Order: sequence, then C-alpha cells, then structure tokens
Amino acid sequence: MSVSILDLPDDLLAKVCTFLDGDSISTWGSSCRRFRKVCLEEPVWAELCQRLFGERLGNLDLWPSLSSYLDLYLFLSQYAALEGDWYGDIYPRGQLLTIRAEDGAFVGRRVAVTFCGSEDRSLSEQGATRADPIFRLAPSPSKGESRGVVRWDPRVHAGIDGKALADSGTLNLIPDTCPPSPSRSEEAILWIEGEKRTKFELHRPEMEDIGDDLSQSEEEIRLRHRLYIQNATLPEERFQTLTVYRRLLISPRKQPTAFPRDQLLSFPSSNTTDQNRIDAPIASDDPDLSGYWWGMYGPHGPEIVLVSHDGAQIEGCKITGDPNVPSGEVTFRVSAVPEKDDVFPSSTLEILQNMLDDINTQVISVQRGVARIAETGFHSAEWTLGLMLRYANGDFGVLFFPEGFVIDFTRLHIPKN
Amino acid sequence: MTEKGRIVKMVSQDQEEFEVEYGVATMSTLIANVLQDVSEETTTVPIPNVNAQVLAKVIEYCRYHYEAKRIDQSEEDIERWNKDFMKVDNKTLFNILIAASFLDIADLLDLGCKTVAGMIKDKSVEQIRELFCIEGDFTEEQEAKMREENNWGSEMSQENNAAQ
Repeated sequence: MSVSILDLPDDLLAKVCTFLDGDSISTWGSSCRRFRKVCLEEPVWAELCQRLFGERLGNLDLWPSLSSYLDLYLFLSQYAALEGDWYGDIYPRGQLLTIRAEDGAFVGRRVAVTFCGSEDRSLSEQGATRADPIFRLAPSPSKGESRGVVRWDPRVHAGIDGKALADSGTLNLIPDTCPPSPSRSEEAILWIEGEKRTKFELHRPEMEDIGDDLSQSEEEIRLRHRLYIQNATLPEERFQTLTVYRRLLISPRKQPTAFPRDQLLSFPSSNTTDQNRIDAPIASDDPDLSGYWWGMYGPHGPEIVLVSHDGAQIEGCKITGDPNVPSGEVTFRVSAVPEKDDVFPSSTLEILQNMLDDINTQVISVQRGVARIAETGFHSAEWTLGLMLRYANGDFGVLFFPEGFVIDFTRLHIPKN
Repeated sequence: MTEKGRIVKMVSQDQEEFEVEYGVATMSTLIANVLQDVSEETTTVPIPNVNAQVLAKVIEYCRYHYEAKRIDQSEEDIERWNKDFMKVDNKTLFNILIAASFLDIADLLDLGCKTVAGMIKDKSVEQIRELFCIEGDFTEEQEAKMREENNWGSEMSQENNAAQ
C-alpha cells in the first residue's frame, strides 16, 4: 500500500504538531490547506501550551483576558520566561524582584524587609517582608484578527516605588542589537505614554528544545535571560535609570565533599592543594540553609542574602547591599562542616553563649570561615575570620572577627498577595 | 492462568502469522483489551489493516522495549535504538504511525510523531512540500495573505524601531 503524509488522519497530524514549536507549525500550516486546518485546531495549541509552559501557566483559565490557546501560546512563548526571581543589579543597594503569574497577568514585585524592632538582636524576627508591585503585564489580543497569527497588544501597567499602578502602554518585541549570548535574543520594550516613561526589556534566547534535540536543559536556557527595567519618574530623559536583572536560581544543597581546610581563610586565592583535606561528615538531620535570608547590617538596616550550599562550603551572597559591602558580593563563606571539639573546645560554645547572652536561643554548633568587611565604596575590602553560629531554633548568626559583632539571619518568606 | 508462556498469534493483512509472547503483544492497548476475557494458551488476533512488513517492524519495537524494560536498559541506549529504528523511508514511517495508532501503542505513536515533527522543524514551506511530495493548493490571494501573517513579528519590530 502506498501511503503519503496526507493519508494520516487529522488526529495524528495534530499530534505531530504538538511536538513542534510555533514557528514550525506556522510554516507547516502554510504548505497546504489540509495542514493549515489541522494547525489551527485549538487542542493542538492547548497541548503545546501545557507541554511547553506547564499545567499552571499553560492553562487558559489563568488568563481571563485571552480567549484561545493560540493567543496564549503567542503570549507565553515570549513572556513565560519572566516568571521567577530576579536579582537587580543596582549598585550598591541591589534589589530582589519576584515575577509571578497572578490574576491573568505577570506581576513583578520588589521584595524588601522593613525592620520594626529595636537594635536588640532578640527582636530580629520583627522584620516585615513586603513585596510591592512595580509592574503588571497582562495580555490582550488585538481585535478583528481571526487568523492563525494574532497580533496582540498587551496592556501594561507600571508603578514606581510602591505608588499606585498607573498608565498603560504597549509592549513590543524588537530584535536585540547586542545579544548577551551567541544565540539570537530579543528584547521587549514598553513605552508608557504621558509623563511617566518606563522601559521594559526582556532578552530571550531562541528556544531550541523541539524535535529530537531535547538535550539542552531548560535551566541552561533560563540562566541566559536578562531582564531590563528602565524607570523614569520625570519626563526628562536624564533621570532615567536602567536596571539589569539576572535570574536567580536556588540550587539544591550538594552532598558535602572533602575540602582543603585552608581554602576558606586563604580566599580569594583559588589555588587549592590536595593537602590538608579532611573528611566532611555531616549530620543527616542538618537543615538545608539554601534560600533567602535577611539580617540587620547595623546602621545600614536589613539586607537580603542568598545562601547556597555547594557541598564543601556554605556561602552567603548579598542580594541587597550597602555602601560598604555592595549587593552581589559574598558576605560570608564558611565550612559546611561544624568545627570539631579539638579545634573548638566545648567551652568555646559556652564562651560564645556568654558573649551573646542577650540571645534567647542556644548556640548548637560553630562553622568556621570568612566574612567580608570593607570601608565605604567597597574600599580596603578584606576577608576577616567569620564564624557561623547555628542556633537551636534553626536560624543562624555570623560572628565577624575581630570587631566581634554578630549578624543574625532570619529566613525570608516572600509574601504572596 | 499465568501470562508466562502464553503466545499471541498476530495475523497481518496479507495473512502472514507472527507468534508473539503475551507480554510483548499486550504493549498494544488494543490487543491487551482483546485478550482481557480470553484465557486460551494461544490466541489468534487478526490485524486486518496492517501488512506483514509494517507489523514486523511494530513487533520489533515492542520486543525491544519489552526486553529493555525487563533488563533495565539505560535511557541513552533506548534513545539510540529508537533513533536507529526510525531510520526508515517516509512510506514505512507513516505506515508505522497508522499501525501504532490502530494498535494503540502510545510510546511508538509518540516516537513516530516526534520523528515526523523532527523532519518538519526548521524547514521552509518549499522544503516541506518537496519532502512529503505535496502540492500547495492555496490561491494566489491566500498565499500572499499568509506571507503577510507570518511576517508579523518582523513587521512589529519595524514599527517599533520607527517609534524610537
């Protein structure tokens, strides 16, 4: 029997479509009338949305302003990458921006901690986390287009510094003139009419996860994203600021490995030797500290730190910073393994506890490492001895030597409004 | 009644008989359903719309995957085998797809659709027509309209550049 592709039933052709990307489907649909009909079937796009963007984002119910999965595909293929946590490279303060899909829009919120307690460390838990919306991006397909490709015109609402969201504008994609990576990327620019003008750009590399080339992991693609938000509260262009955002990923804790003990204190030299390695046993019930924490950096106020566990070390990197040690810098780096008794006799814990007698929790172990201190402008930056104090309640503090001050850290819970 | 030792005789369109172990044959949901209420040692199942050449291919697929699952074959080995298995001419590929759809073998159906999708991906309209020996049956007007539609992305960027 002689069989051509046209002998395949519609449902099989539709299934083939769900393994393609939007561009290829559109090309295929242009090759003959039968394919065109199959390509425009709603279930094709519904399945494509679910496969590419997941059950939550790829569900039309989440997007009341859209009426078809084809529109949803067109919207999400450009903006699904927005969702996640972003680090705003604003020197020296830095910014934590979370973008989530809610109520039919991508809402970007700036996360900040306000400290309502006194300088008394025992009140450190009295910080309040706020997540103020700074932009809202909702799709809306333009009217009168009933064909395969819909021209759409998302309404964009932007607000600055927690003020009410106001003004609307259009968001377009333009090709990037200076790609951040070798692959093609695009940027989205938002123009707000009126006296506020906000620029909003999204660089995205080409998605290449279709067909049998499924090897490139999605995380790798995501890492290459850059998000640009440009704000100007005044019409004068000279007041515009451009903020570059980089995607933040919290990597899961790695198993502890043997590591050279001297590495921590000799940092930043990256030359390590195989000598002085010690075994790194770690209690299996040791809590994973990975994630966002905040601590009171004295007069600078509360700052947000991203803690990661790379197996040998626990590192705290500043998401928000201050003029002395700015955002993006490592504030402490300690061994993943608690000090043994022969290095720190058990009396040490007692001495520490006495030093910290205003703390209403017990120090249960100490991890040695380094902490960053610097003068204003990150001048004379140096590594000093730092000790991570693990408290019985699961929180931790970092003791900075020789100054002898302790910064307590509390886990940051980003509110979901 | 054990499944072990049970044999299913699959009879192709051109009356060729294939003796297949029960576990292999029931990778087809259709056959599994047919055999549900049958308890004979040997059952004959006619597959009226699949010819011997294609049925042999399908059984080869089921045999490999049945065995691969049993001995816990690595993902990469299975991937490689699947890729080689799909190195067939278009006619055979489409026949396998139709057979997989009829016999309801989900994995083979996915593999086949993915293979066709891989052939279509990143090709131009002309290349696709040539590949599948199909002719464009649109009117001039429709063709022009589609060209315009497919350029929507670049059009928008031009407008945007002008706005700047």
